Amino acid sequence: MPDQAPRTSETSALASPWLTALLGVTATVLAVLVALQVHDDRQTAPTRVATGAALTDAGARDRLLDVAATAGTRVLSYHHDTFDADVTATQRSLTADFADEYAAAMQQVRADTVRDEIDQETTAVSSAVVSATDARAEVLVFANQQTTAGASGARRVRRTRLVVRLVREEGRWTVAGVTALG
Amino acid sequence: MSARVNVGLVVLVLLLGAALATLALREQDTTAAAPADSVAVRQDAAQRAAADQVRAFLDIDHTDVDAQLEEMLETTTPRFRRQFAPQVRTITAETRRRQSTADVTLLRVGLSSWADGAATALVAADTAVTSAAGGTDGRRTVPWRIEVDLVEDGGRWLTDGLRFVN
Repeated sequence: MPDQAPRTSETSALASPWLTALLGVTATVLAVLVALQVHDDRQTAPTRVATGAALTDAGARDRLLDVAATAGTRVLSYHHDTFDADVTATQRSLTADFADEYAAAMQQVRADTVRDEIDQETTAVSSAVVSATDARAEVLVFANQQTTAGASGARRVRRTRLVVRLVREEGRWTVAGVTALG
Repeated sequence: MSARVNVGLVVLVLLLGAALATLALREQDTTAAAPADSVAVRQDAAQRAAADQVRAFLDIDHTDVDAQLEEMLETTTPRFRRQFAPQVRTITAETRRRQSTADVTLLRVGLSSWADGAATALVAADTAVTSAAGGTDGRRTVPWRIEVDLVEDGGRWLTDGLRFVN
C-alpha cells in the first residue's frame, strides 16, 4: 500500500498553481474594492451625522418658519406691567443656555423698563429659511420693533433683521439664539 | 497543501464578495435619498441666484452703471425687465447725478417659500454708499430688506420680482 492515495484529476485541479494565482488576484481585487468602499463611507459619514438631513419638505419648513418668527420676535417683546411674566413665558421656547443668557440680558433692562413704562412689541413681517437640517436651523426674520415709553409718550418703530438659530430638542424646535443684524 | 490554500482563497473570495455586496446595497440605500438631496441642491441654487441678483442690483458704480444694470437684467424674466425698465432709467440718472458708489455686504439669504419651479427669497444686505454730489458727503451704511421672486427656467433661476420689505 502506498502512503498516500493516488491524486485524482479533481484534487490535482484544486491544487493547481494557476487556480491559486487566479484566486489570489481575485481576492486582492475584492479586498481593494472593499477597502475603497469603506474609505468612501468614512469620508461621507461624518458630514451626514454633523449636518443631518436637509429639511426640504415644504410643510416642515413652514412649521419651522412659524416657530422662528413667533419665538424669535417674542425674545424682543416685553411690557413694563408684565415684564417678569413675559420673560418667564419667553424662556420656555429657548434652549437652557440661551434662556440663561436671555434672562441675564433682560435683568439689565428691567429697571428702566418699569420706571419709564416701556413697552416693546416686535412683529415678524416675513421670514425665510437660511439653512435647515432636521436637527438645527437658521432663519432670517424681517421684523418691526415698536417701542413705546408710557412716561414720555414717545413712540418709535425700528425695522430690523433678525437671525434666529434653532435646534430640535425632544421633537420640537427651540430657539438657541437671536442676533439682530441691525 | 496547495489545495488547502486554494480552498482558503475560495472562502476568502466569497467573504470579500459578500462584504462588497453589503456595502453596495448600503450605498443604494443612500442613493435612495437622492430626490430630497436634489431638492436641497435646487434650493441652494435658488438662494445663490437671489444673492447674486441683489448684489448686482445694489452694487452700483456711477462710472459703469449702464453695464452693471444690463448685466443684472440678464438673469431676469422678460416680464421683470418690462416692469423694471422705468426704474432702470431712474436709477441710472440718480446714480450719475449723485456720483454714487455702493459696496454691498450680503448678510443673510433665505427662502421664504418654495414650490416646484418657483421660490421666494429674503435677502438682508448692507450697502456702504459714497456720494460725491447731492449733499451726502462721506460714506454711510444703508440696511436693506429685500424680497426676490424667482422662477426656474431651463435649470437657471431667473428673477421675476424684486421688492423692498417695509
